[in-house]
Amino acid sequence: MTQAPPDLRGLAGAAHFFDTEHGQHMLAVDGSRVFDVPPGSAAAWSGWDAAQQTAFLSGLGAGDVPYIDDAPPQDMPLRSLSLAVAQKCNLACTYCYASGGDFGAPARNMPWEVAKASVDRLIAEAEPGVRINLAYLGGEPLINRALIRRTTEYATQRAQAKGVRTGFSITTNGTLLRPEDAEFFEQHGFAVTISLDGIGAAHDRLRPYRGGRGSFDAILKRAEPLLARQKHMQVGARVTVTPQNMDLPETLDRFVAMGFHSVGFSPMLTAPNGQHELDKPGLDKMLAQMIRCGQSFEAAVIAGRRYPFSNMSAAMHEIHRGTHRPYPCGAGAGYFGVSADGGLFACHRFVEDADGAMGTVTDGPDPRRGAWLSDRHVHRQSPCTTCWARYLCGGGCHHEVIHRGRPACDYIRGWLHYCLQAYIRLSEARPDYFGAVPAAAQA
Amino acid sequence: MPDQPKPIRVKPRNLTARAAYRVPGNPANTRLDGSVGNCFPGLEMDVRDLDRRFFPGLVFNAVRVPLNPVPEAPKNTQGFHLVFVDYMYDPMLPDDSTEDWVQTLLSAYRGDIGTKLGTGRWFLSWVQQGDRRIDMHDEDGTPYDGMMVWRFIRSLEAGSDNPVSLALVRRNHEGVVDTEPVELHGYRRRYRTEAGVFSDTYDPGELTQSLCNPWSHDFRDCGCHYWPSNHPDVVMAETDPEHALPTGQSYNPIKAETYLDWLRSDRSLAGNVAAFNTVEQNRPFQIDHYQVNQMWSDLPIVVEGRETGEVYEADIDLPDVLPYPSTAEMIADLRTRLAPMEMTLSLQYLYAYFTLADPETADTARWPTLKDDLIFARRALIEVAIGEMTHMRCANQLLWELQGKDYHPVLTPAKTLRFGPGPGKVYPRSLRPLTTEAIDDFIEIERPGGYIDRAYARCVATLEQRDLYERHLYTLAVRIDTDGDEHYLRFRQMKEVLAKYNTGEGLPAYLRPVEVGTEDQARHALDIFDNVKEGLHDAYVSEAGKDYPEAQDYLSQVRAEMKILRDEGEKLAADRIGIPFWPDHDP
Repeated sequence: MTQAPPDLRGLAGAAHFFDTEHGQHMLAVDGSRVFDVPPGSAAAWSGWDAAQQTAFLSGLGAGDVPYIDDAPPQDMPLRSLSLAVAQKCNLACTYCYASGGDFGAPARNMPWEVAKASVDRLIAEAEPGVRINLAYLGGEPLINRALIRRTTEYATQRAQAKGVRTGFSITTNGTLLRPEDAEFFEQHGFAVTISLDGIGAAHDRLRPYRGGRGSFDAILKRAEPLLARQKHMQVGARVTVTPQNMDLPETLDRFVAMGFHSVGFSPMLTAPNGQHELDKPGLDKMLAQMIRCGQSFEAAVIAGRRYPFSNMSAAMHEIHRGTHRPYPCGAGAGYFGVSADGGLFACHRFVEDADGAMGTVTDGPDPRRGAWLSDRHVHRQSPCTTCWARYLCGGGCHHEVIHRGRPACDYIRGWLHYCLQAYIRLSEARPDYFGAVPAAAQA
Repeated sequence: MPDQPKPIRVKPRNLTARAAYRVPGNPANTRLDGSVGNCFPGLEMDVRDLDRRFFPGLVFNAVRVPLNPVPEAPKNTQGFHLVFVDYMYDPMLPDDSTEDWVQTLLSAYRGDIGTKLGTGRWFLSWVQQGDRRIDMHDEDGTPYDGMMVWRFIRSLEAGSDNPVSLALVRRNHEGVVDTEPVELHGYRRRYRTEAGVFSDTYDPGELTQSLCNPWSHDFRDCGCHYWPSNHPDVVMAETDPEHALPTGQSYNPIKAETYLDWLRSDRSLAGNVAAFNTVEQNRPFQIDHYQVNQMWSDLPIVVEGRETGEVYEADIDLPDVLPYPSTAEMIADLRTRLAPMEMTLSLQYLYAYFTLADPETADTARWPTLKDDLIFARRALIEVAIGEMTHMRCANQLLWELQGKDYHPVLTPAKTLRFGPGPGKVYPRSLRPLTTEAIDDFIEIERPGGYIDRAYARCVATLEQRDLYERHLYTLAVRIDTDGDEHYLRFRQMKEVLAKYNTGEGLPAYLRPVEVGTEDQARHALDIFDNVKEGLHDAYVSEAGKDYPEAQDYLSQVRAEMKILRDEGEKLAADRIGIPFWPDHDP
């Protein structure tokens, strides 16, 4: 598909105005810059012609060069790999993007040679001092525990020899966790993410064993030793939200109370079988629930209490820093998924998917990677080019966009609009939450 | 150009917004004399604090001889006083060092010597490097002042081939050494690492700990070099917004251009009375020691010599000033009006300068202050004349930047000047002595908001258009535009100082009888003046062509010629002859 690059210096989606009890505010989309503006500015803006709007924006200080240009990144070093160590699973989640763990291909384990080649590639592209990340996914990765251990130890040893720092993570359904895993994960500072889709029956409906039996109680029991041992290790809960598990505030509070280091929600937008995908009313409902969770987060931060709602804490820090990105994630750039037989894919979700295939782990990314980065740039996405949220969102999950389109844009904008408001409130009430504020900025 | 939207005051909130937001900072034409302070340089640290850790493991304070010791105070407290022994984290003394001297020092500090140094008051007795030993006391045993010891310590060399030995003595309440001295051997500390960073040995805050703070009592009096930032002595008052012209300047320039004592205790508008000339005279009206503690944060920020209130506006809007319709018209105005005007002004001032009497021959018997006042007036007048010469150069620079290849220097004085309120009155140029009337005219010419800066206001308004002109042209025009303030002040001071010599009978004592001479009488001076003009012409042409070394050569020649012209002008003036800078003068 070829299309003329849109004129991003134009003003469609150049600014987003929003109000709080502290007045009117504006997100200057270029550079994700947040300003306080006098009341009535939004109305004034809409009455201006393009030249006046441009003059106003240029008065805010950014130069003539946009923060993000049309050029895809060149020669990105490879920093993160996810290994599909086991392309099979003991659960039968109704909506699984991997179609029950095997990605629609024969079920199998990753052999040592592939894992070793993955580590070697990461080490080869890393200069001393750089941090590399190795993520174990599946399927259910703990089915192939031996490989995880061997690979982690090998990577640690290679990294130490070269002066490279390592980060390890694993995403697991939790059903196969053993007490000795806690020790190993702690020793290597793993970020452990456990998929939990609610409390008790809500979870069990979505994440049953292959025989149909619920998994919630078993998982919690197995997660306890990990939750108790979080020093170097961090254990998070990841909730996929479907129409079946909408009680987010209760879920969040419950998991926070259990001692999870972070709890995050993401909407179910695309399943190979179409099951449990959220539709527009479902997304509206989820947004309302997310905002309720966000309000609890605001109250906790103002009270000086830790409340690890990861969607919110990530948004707060990204808005504070003015994060602006031309992609939603590092897929195909610094991050790739490795399939069990050593294929290189844009990310863990694209494993065994021709749309995201871009080489092998032994030979490295092939030219399809360049084409991917060029195609997936948010400036090439429609209708992103006129959307004010484009540099905070990055265009949405590639996997979901390619397979279902963009059904959740209103949800994303609604969430970001709320987060911008919350950012204003929190930066007024607790500037310390965002780090020390220079005195001049407070004047 | 579309109509600019009305300015909207925004506040950048997150990090990208703050990083990109251009706050009104120092413009490109900022000069040193525009800085906040006008007395002492500010310092970021107290260098004495480096030497308090000159020897590994020991921390000293330099103690001065007390000014008014109470009788019961301990004696001989001055010198390099050992504050404490601090060897645990000293980067020169690592536990696992294989150096003998390190291990020897460490066991001394950990053992009996450390214990001994922990009781009583210990002072540095002597240091030795090579075969030179410096005793830290007089021949009669009186310890040196801490600052003197500090200077000796600064002379010690660092490095592995320069070992240092020292002795510490304990002094009792009577100031008498009461135990065996402690001798230690090591090396002087290097205060900076190879990378130029201060040694880790210093604790956070240690290097600034002796700097004064504005909320401490002596902020009022202290003239030392140890302020974290310098503070101004005299300032101009904030323009009262109620009394401001549309340009932001005060409608009352005399009040606005009066120097006030920055530390005045009456901070109401009524308290804005001119500062006296000396610190002693101002003292009774300044905030007192105890008041500093409460009022230090009321002392206003000073920008460009002026106190500022809530908001500092970097670029004052000139709402009633219209830009030139075209660049060509601005160029024409600069060529025919502004640059020639600057040349006429500089020559008028230079002429007036030569009419001031020679301070060395002043009748000090009759006028005891005349010599000083003449020195002041001559200096002030030559400064203003040089200022106008600088403007002439700036006007030419605007021209060469705007005209490019078509530029040729403008070095012809204007035949008429216009000044006064409103559109102003036209005056023919005139070479005349610095009489009271002349000073009054000069004050009017330079009055802020008067003719001169209104003239450049159109240039400023034109060059302000960022999309049409480069920013440095704008700052150049602003600089000419705002220099008038200083000139205005100088002439007012001259008037004040010289008024008393105007007795109404004959020539005031500060003037000498000088009349415009003929071309023949001033032949030599006019030849030099021609050389000056020629040299300036060549320098401007070279600079316009970006041949800076060549321009520099021409300018050096011009400077030398100007020096000769000044000598020649003095010589002629002594013979009552003024230089006829332009030929058509009616005597």
